[in-house]
Amino acid sequence: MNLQEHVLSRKAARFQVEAKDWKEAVKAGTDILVEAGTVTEQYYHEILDGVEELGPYFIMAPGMAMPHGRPDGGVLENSYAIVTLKEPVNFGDPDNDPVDILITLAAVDAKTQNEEAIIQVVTLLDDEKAMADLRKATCIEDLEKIFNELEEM
Amino acid sequence: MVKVLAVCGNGMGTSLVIKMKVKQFLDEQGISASMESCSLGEAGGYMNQGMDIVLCSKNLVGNLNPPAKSHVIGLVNLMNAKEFGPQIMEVINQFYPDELKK
Repeated sequence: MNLQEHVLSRKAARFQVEAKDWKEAVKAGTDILVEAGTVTEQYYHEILDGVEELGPYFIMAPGMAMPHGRPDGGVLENSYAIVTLKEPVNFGDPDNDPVDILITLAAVDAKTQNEEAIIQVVTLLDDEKAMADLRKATCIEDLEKIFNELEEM
Repeated sequence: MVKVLAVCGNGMGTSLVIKMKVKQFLDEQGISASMESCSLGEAGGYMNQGMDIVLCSKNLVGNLNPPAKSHVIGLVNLMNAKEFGPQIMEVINQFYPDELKK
Protein backbone atom coordinates (compact mmCIF):
# COMPACT_ATOMS: atom_id res chain seq x y z
CA MET A 1 0.00 0.00 0.00
CA ASN A 2 1.46 3.35 -0.91
CA LEU A 3 1.46 6.54 1.14
CA GLN A 4 -1.62 8.06 -0.45
CA GLU A 5 -3.77 4.90 -0.23
CA HIS A 6 -2.65 4.25 3.30
CA VAL A 7 -3.18 7.74 4.69
CA LEU A 8 -6.49 8.34 2.92
CA SER A 9 -8.05 4.92 3.57
CA ARG A 10 -7.11 4.99 7.26
CA LYS A 11 -7.58 8.71 7.67
CA ALA A 12 -4.07 8.70 9.11
CA ALA A 13 -3.70 12.48 9.27
CA ARG A 14 -4.28 15.28 11.78
CA PHE A 15 -4.30 18.93 10.81
CA GLN A 16 -3.44 22.12 12.70
CA VAL A 17 -2.42 20.13 15.76
CA GLU A 18 -1.44 22.15 18.83
CA ALA A 19 1.86 20.85 20.17
CA LYS A 20 3.84 22.68 22.83
CA ASP A 21 7.16 21.07 21.85
CA TRP A 22 8.68 18.62 19.38
CA LYS A 23 7.91 15.62 21.58
CA GLU A 24 4.19 16.39 21.49
CA ALA A 25 4.45 16.87 17.74
CA VAL A 26 6.09 13.44 17.33
CA LYS A 27 3.49 11.90 19.65
CA ALA A 28 0.66 13.27 17.52
CA GLY A 29 2.03 11.17 14.65
CA THR A 30 2.74 8.00 16.62
CA ASP A 31 -0.69 8.26 18.33
CA ILE A 32 -2.31 7.98 14.90
CA LEU A 33 -0.32 4.80 14.21
CA VAL A 34 -1.07 3.36 17.67
CA GLU A 35 -4.80 3.96 17.11
CA ALA A 36 -4.53 2.27 13.73
CA GLY A 37 -2.86 -0.68 15.43
CA THR A 38 0.23 -0.59 13.21
CA VAL A 39 2.75 0.28 15.96
CA THR A 40 2.79 -0.23 19.74
CA GLU A 41 3.13 2.61 22.25
CA GLN A 42 6.80 1.71 22.42
CA TYR A 43 7.35 3.32 19.03
CA TYR A 44 7.05 6.85 20.42
CA HIS A 45 9.76 6.11 22.98
CA GLU A 46 11.87 4.43 20.30
CA ILE A 47 11.87 7.68 18.30
CA LEU A 48 12.66 9.77 21.40
CA ASP A 49 15.54 7.46 22.29
CA GLY A 50 16.85 7.81 18.74
CA VAL A 51 16.83 11.60 19.01
CA GLU A 52 18.58 11.42 22.38
CA GLU A 53 21.30 9.25 20.87
CA LEU A 54 21.73 10.84 17.44
CA GLY A 55 20.06 14.25 17.53
CA PRO A 56 17.05 15.03 15.33
CA TYR A 57 18.15 12.69 12.53
CA PHE A 58 14.89 12.75 10.60
CA ILE A 59 14.61 16.44 9.67
CA MET A 60 14.38 16.50 5.89
CA ALA A 61 14.40 20.17 4.99
CA PRO A 62 13.32 23.51 6.50
CA GLY A 63 9.98 22.98 8.25
CA MET A 64 9.73 19.27 7.44
CA ALA A 65 10.35 16.18 9.55
CA MET A 66 9.93 12.47 8.87
CA PRO A 67 10.00 10.88 12.35
CA HIS A 68 10.75 7.15 12.33
CA GLY A 69 12.45 4.55 14.47
CA ARG A 70 13.83 1.03 14.22
CA PRO A 71 11.52 -1.85 13.28
CA ASP A 72 12.17 -3.62 16.59
CA GLY A 73 10.98 -0.48 18.38
CA GLY A 74 7.35 -1.54 18.20
CA VAL A 75 6.49 -1.64 14.49
CA LEU A 76 3.74 -4.11 13.61
CA GLU A 77 3.01 -3.06 10.04
CA ASN A 78 4.41 -0.67 7.43
CA SER A 79 2.47 2.54 7.95
CA TYR A 80 2.47 6.32 7.63
CA ALA A 81 0.84 9.31 9.29
CA ILE A 82 0.73 12.98 8.33
CA VAL A 83 0.59 15.74 10.97
CA THR A 84 0.54 19.48 10.45
CA LEU A 85 1.02 21.86 13.35
CA LYS A 86 -0.86 25.04 14.14
CA GLU A 87 2.33 26.58 15.50
CA PRO A 88 5.72 25.23 14.41
CA VAL A 89 8.08 23.66 16.97
CA ASN A 90 11.87 23.51 17.23
CA PHE A 91 13.72 20.17 17.05
CA GLY A 92 17.16 21.58 17.80
CA ASP A 93 18.25 21.63 14.16
CA PRO A 94 19.09 25.31 13.65
CA ASP A 95 19.32 24.95 9.87
CA ASN A 96 15.81 23.54 9.47
CA ASP A 97 13.82 24.70 12.52
CA PRO A 98 11.02 25.46 13.09
CA VAL A 99 9.06 22.45 11.82
CA ASP A 100 5.32 22.31 11.14
CA ILE A 101 4.95 19.31 8.83
CA LEU A 102 5.62 15.76 10.04
CA ILE A 103 5.29 12.57 8.07
CA THR A 104 5.68 9.72 10.54
CA LEU A 105 6.99 6.50 9.05
CA ALA A 106 6.96 2.97 10.44
CA ALA A 107 8.64 0.10 8.61
CA VAL A 108 8.91 -3.56 9.62
CA ASP A 109 12.32 -3.82 7.96
CA ALA A 110 14.52 -1.95 5.52
CA LYS A 111 13.85 -4.39 2.67
CA THR A 112 10.08 -4.16 2.70
CA GLN A 113 10.16 -0.42 3.36
CA ASN A 114 8.03 0.61 0.49
CA GLU A 115 10.24 2.47 -1.95
CA GLU A 116 7.10 3.70 -3.66
CA ALA A 117 5.98 5.29 -0.39
CA ILE A 118 9.35 6.97 0.07
CA ILE A 119 9.11 8.35 -3.46
CA GLN A 120 5.68 9.74 -2.59
CA VAL A 121 6.97 11.29 0.64
CA VAL A 122 9.77 12.91 -1.35
CA THR A 123 7.41 14.03 -4.11
CA LEU A 124 5.04 15.55 -1.58
CA LEU A 125 7.71 17.32 0.47
CA ASP A 126 9.39 18.47 -2.71
CA ASP A 127 6.38 20.27 -4.11
CA GLU A 128 6.11 23.86 -2.94
CA LYS A 129 2.45 24.21 -3.79
CA ALA A 130 1.58 20.91 -2.11
CA MET A 131 3.44 22.05 1.01
CA ALA A 132 1.68 25.41 1.04
CA ASP A 133 -1.69 23.66 0.57
CA LEU A 134 -0.87 21.09 3.25
CA ARG A 135 -0.09 23.87 5.73
CA LYS A 136 -3.57 25.25 5.08
CA ALA A 137 -5.36 21.88 5.03
CA THR A 138 -7.96 21.24 7.73
CA CYS A 139 -9.49 17.90 6.72
CA ILE A 140 -8.78 14.63 4.93
CA GLU A 141 -10.61 15.91 1.83
CA ASP A 142 -8.09 18.76 1.55
CA LEU A 143 -5.31 16.18 1.71
CA GLU A 144 -6.97 14.02 -0.92
CA LYS A 145 -7.09 17.03 -3.23
CA ILE A 146 -3.37 17.68 -2.65
CA PHE A 147 -2.52 14.07 -3.53
CA ASN A 148 -4.70 14.19 -6.63
CA GLU A 149 -3.04 17.37 -7.85
CA LEU A 150 0.38 15.80 -7.28
CA GLU A 151 -0.62 12.76 -9.33
CA GLU A 152 -1.67 14.86 -12.26
CA MET A 153 1.81 16.28 -12.62
CA MET B 1 31.64 5.53 -11.62
CA VAL B 2 31.45 7.20 -8.23
CA LYS B 3 30.48 4.93 -5.35
CA VAL B 4 28.09 6.76 -3.08
CA LEU B 5 26.69 5.62 0.27
CA ALA B 6 23.76 7.30 2.04
CA VAL B 7 23.63 6.74 5.81
CA CYS B 8 20.99 7.51 8.40
CA GLY B 9 20.01 6.44 11.92
CA ASN B 10 18.34 3.19 11.01
CA GLY B 11 18.68 2.89 7.26
CA MET B 12 15.04 2.97 6.28
CA GLY B 13 13.92 6.55 6.04
CA THR B 14 16.31 9.42 5.63
CA SER B 15 18.99 7.45 3.79
CA LEU B 16 16.46 6.23 1.22
CA VAL B 17 15.40 9.81 0.60
CA ILE B 18 19.03 10.91 0.22
CA LYS B 19 19.71 7.99 -2.13
CA MET B 20 16.76 8.89 -4.31
CA LYS B 21 17.33 12.64 -4.46
CA VAL B 22 21.10 12.41 -5.00
CA LYS B 23 20.82 9.70 -7.68
CA GLN B 24 18.35 11.93 -9.52
CA PHE B 25 20.72 14.89 -9.19
CA LEU B 26 23.81 12.98 -10.36
CA ASP B 27 21.90 11.52 -13.33
CA GLU B 28 20.97 15.07 -14.35
CA GLN B 29 24.63 16.07 -14.10
CA GLY B 30 25.59 13.11 -16.31
CA ILE B 31 27.68 11.57 -13.55
CA SER B 32 27.48 7.82 -13.29
CA ALA B 33 27.14 6.68 -9.70
CA SER B 34 26.33 3.56 -7.76
CA MET B 35 24.13 4.32 -4.78
CA GLU B 36 23.75 2.31 -1.59
CA SER B 37 21.92 3.19 1.61
CA CYS B 38 22.27 1.80 5.11
CA SER B 39 22.01 2.47 8.84
CA LEU B 40 24.76 3.93 11.01
CA GLY B 41 25.42 0.44 12.41
CA GLU B 42 25.99 -0.98 8.92
CA ALA B 43 28.00 1.99 7.66
CA GLY B 44 31.38 0.64 8.76
CA GLY B 45 30.96 -2.53 6.71
CA TYR B 46 29.86 -0.62 3.64
CA MET B 47 32.67 1.92 3.94
CA ASN B 48 35.21 -0.91 4.15
CA GLN B 49 34.07 -2.02 0.69
CA GLY B 50 35.45 1.31 -0.55
CA MET B 51 32.98 4.17 -0.83
CA ASP B 52 34.04 7.38 -2.59
CA ILE B 53 31.40 9.63 -1.09
CA VAL B 54 29.42 9.08 2.10
CA LEU B 55 26.31 11.22 2.60
CA CYS B 56 24.34 11.72 5.79
CA SER B 57 22.45 14.50 7.51
CA LYS B 58 24.77 17.06 9.08
CA ASN B 59 23.70 15.94 12.56
CA LEU B 60 25.20 12.48 12.03
CA VAL B 61 28.62 13.33 10.61
CA GLY B 62 30.27 13.00 14.02
CA ASN B 63 28.94 9.45 14.42
CA LEU B 64 30.75 8.16 11.34
CA ASN B 65 34.28 6.86 11.35
CA PRO B 66 35.18 6.76 7.67
CA PRO B 67 38.38 5.37 6.11
CA ALA B 68 40.74 8.03 4.77
CA LYS B 69 39.71 7.58 1.14
CA SER B 70 36.00 8.20 1.73
CA HIS B 71 34.71 11.77 1.60
CA VAL B 72 31.93 12.43 4.08
CA ILE B 73 29.42 15.16 3.25
CA GLY B 74 26.92 16.36 5.88
CA LEU B 75 23.70 17.50 4.24
CA VAL B 76 21.42 20.18 5.68
CA ASN B 77 18.51 20.17 3.26
CA LEU B 78 18.03 16.65 1.89
CA MET B 79 15.27 17.66 -0.46
CA ASN B 80 16.71 20.55 -2.38
CA ALA B 81 19.37 19.85 -5.02
CA LYS B 82 20.16 23.57 -5.17
CA GLU B 83 21.49 23.18 -1.64
CA PHE B 84 23.09 19.73 -1.57
CA GLY B 85 24.18 19.78 -5.24
CA PRO B 86 27.06 22.24 -4.82
CA GLN B 87 28.31 20.35 -1.74
CA ILE B 88 28.53 17.13 -3.74
CA MET B 89 29.92 18.73 -6.90
CA GLU B 90 32.69 20.38 -4.91
CA VAL B 91 33.95 16.96 -3.82
CA ILE B 92 33.56 15.47 -7.29
CA ASN B 93 35.40 18.41 -8.90
CA GLN B 94 38.22 18.13 -6.43
CA PHE B 95 38.66 14.37 -6.10
CA TYR B 96 36.94 12.72 -9.07
CA PRO B 97 37.39 15.20 -11.94
CA ASP B 98 37.59 12.33 -14.46
CA GLU B 99 33.90 11.62 -13.82
CA LEU B 100 33.03 15.02 -15.27
CA LYS B 101 34.68 14.39 -18.63
CA LYS B 102 32.55 11.43 -19.63
